[in-house]
Amino acid sequence: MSTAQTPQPSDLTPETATCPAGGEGMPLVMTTTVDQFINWARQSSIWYLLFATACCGIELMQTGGPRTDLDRFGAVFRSSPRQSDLLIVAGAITYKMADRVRLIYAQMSEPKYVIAMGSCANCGGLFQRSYSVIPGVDTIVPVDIYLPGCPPRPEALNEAILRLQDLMRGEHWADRLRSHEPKTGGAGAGGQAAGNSVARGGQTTGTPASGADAGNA
Amino acid sequence: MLFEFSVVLIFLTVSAVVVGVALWLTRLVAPQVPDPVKATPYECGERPIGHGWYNFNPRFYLMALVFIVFDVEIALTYPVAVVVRQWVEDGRGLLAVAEIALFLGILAAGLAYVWGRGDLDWARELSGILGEAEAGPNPASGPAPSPTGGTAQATVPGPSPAMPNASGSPAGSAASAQPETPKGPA
Amino acid sequence: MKPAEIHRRLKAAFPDGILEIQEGLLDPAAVIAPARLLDVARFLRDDPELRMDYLRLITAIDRVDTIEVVYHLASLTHRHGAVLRVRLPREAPEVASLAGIWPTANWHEREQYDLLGVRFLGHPDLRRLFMPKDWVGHPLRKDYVRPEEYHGIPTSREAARARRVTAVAPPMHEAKDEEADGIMRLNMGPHHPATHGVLNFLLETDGEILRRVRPEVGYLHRGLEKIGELTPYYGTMPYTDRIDYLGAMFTNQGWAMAVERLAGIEVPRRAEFLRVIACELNRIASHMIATGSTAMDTGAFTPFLHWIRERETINDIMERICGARLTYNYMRFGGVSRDIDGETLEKIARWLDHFEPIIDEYNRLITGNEIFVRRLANVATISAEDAVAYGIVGPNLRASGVSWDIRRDEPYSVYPELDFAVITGQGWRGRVGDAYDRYYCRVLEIRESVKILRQALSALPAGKFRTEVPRTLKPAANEVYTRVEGPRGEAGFYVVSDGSDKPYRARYRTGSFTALSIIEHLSPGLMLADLVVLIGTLDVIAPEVDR
Repeated sequence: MSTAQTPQPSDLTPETATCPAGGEGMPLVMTTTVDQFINWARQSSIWYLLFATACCGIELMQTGGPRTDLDRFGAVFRSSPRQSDLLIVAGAITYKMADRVRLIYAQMSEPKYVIAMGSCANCGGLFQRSYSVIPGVDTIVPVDIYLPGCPPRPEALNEAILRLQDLMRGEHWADRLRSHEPKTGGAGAGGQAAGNSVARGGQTTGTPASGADAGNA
Repeated sequence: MLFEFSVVLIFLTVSAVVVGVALWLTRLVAPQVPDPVKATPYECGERPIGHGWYNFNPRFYLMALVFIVFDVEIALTYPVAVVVRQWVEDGRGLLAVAEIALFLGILAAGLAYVWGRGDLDWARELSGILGEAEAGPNPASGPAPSPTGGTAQATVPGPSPAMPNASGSPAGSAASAQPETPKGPA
Repeated sequence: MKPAEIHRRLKAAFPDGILEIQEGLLDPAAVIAPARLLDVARFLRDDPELRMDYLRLITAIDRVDTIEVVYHLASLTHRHGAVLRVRLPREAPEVASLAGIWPTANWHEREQYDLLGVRFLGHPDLRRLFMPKDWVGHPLRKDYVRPEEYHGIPTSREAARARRVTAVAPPMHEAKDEEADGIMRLNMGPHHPATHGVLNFLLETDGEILRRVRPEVGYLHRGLEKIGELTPYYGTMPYTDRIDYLGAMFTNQGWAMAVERLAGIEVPRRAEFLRVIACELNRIASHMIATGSTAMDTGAFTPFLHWIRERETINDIMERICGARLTYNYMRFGGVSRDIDGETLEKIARWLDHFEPIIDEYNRLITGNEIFVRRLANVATISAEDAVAYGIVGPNLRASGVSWDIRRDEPYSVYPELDFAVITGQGWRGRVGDAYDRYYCRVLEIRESVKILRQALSALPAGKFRTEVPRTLKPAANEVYTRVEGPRGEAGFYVVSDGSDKPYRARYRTGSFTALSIIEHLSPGLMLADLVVLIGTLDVIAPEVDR
């Protein structure tokens, strides 16, 4: 999957939409409308996997609570990776847990997204000097949104979901058709943007994802 | 009357079409990335440790069977409720009540038989299940075992009160040192 | 009985076994010859006047030429304690295992074996507790060097930035060829909605009734004790938040109290009351999650959401008090980090008035619900003897009928001036010590905390909120074990100082660690659904277990 294309959120018009690099002649107007429709459907029902290891998990629960209600975005929590689109890695991941995270990520079906919530998932957080915490979950899964905070406020997680919706709005359904390479046995299970419908290789470092985390040192 | 069955036909056709369209749309829209790791069974993040094809406990079968029987009974009682008014107007109300009462009564007798025999309890004796589990890693020498079990080995806490014959035999049989045979739904 | 008297009796009973009495320590300790440890331990447990029925903590300390193992014992009946120490050679640190005398020693010894390499002879199951099976080395040793990578994942952020790793997950279990014996072997966890964190339970079941459950922990082991050795005293305060994120004020206070005892720092009265206010608010918040998630695990989702709504207000109050919603970092050595203003105090008082009827509303929702009672009553009963032997503390211990609350029995702070009841299990709907008792104890403790809060608010004196403390703390070489009563029981801090600005050893004793260890003992004969109730009512959270 080429990473040459960086989708811009919400500014695609029939005139400016370009064919994927090397694309065959697709009717552009039809594709754009279908894109918008599909993306709207996807962004309005982001089902996230309940994956809370540590303190960020409590803030994740509070975000699903009455005040900052994630359900109003259509985001409900699921316990099984088969039913989820989004993996919110909330909490520190240890080496023992890392293999399990990889497996769970691999068991989710495409399109799948990852939010690294909290400092521990971003970079190891305050456990960087520890012998057993991985320095950021992007060493094992490709991350779409980095959400800083320790723990991030519910408003920040809210903002991360909204940014994810922006990301989804810029996707092209046509890209999926060319990314059909089935993974061979030894190749990346959490492959960097391989096999996904989003050009995410450029996104992992580029997206400036900060929530309003006032009051949280 | 055959014409009324056409409603059923339309119903079946529409549901088949809806399901088919939904699946076809998904096939069209969703990325398909088959992957051997993705196809592994989900076991809370770990690789599965037991067999996948496993001899399920026959007690599940028994429970399911009893459930099906009574589920079908409910399903068959509904149409009676629909037509009973017609029967009452025809003056055959008492016959209708007698028929449905007979039907329910036969099934209730079956339920009483199954219940009384103890086939609705999950386990009649726990020793077959516990096996060698009582030789746990912490043979507590000092403290006495829990007041419920009264055994020197496995602590058998009282099961939830929904199980009627919970307290009597399990404690005694769990202490037996004989090699246990796998207990079927005897 | 004072430590001096205990040591005198020990010396009388084992003239050759007691090598030394360390009187100069804040908690005087007796150094035992390793060969006599079992006899001494049995004597301490069985002697009717000593009756040390509760093994609090086993700690191994790497003194460069020897490895010490320190045992903290206590008697719940006589309200006294003892500290034992054995010194082992570094090349072959072996000592007898106490798992036969106190079952709680099982997991403590496995942890010390894992982290420091001490071998406990006679231990029924000595294997690593926290670190993965193929980990090399013992991380808490002073000469430990962390590896460059593990299974392809780099260990430092700089190395991680250099490359992205996307290798396929390596096999984690060898598929054993199990016999077709009708036993289903399953993993419950680490990713499971009902395990309250990343805990794994290896189940052996026939489909409904459990034959055996083996908890597998370490999925959240972040090496907090090693970080405690690398960080100056004041720098460890934020880390204590992460030991128990639902009771962060308590771990903060425990750490502050331990270092204050080491360094001889006084805490002004206003600060003590502020600590009590913060802690009891935290206790309410934590018990809300505990009771709510118990209900959620049995299928009742709504009461939990009611509690979450109330908890938002507590989070707001905490934010006004210390600036953070969850990981507070509020306590400082000598007091608290900042003063509380009148508006916040009013807000707390108003909220308490608003909150008391909410407890009744919650009880109407779920506590008396017949289905809920049936799920919890007479399920997974823990007897009082088992509870003490396995080191259970907190509401779990009190629900089993043992009336032990550190706030009353080993008092600290200003709790002696406050009036509150210690809730013990009465067998409200079943036997004493069943799951319903554990659940209901917590609901009643919420009410008691409200009572304490009202008293503290009205008795809050004027004054300083913190004593001035030097920027760099270098307490004299000593050691201390301080404990506070947290929502999950005893939050203990064993700190060994060596005169420098960093602790030599920082050991954290948590209630969930021992609560998890009793599950294996209780599980044979439980149904699967009862296991979920057991885990929920024990209020186990993973970071406390793994640290």
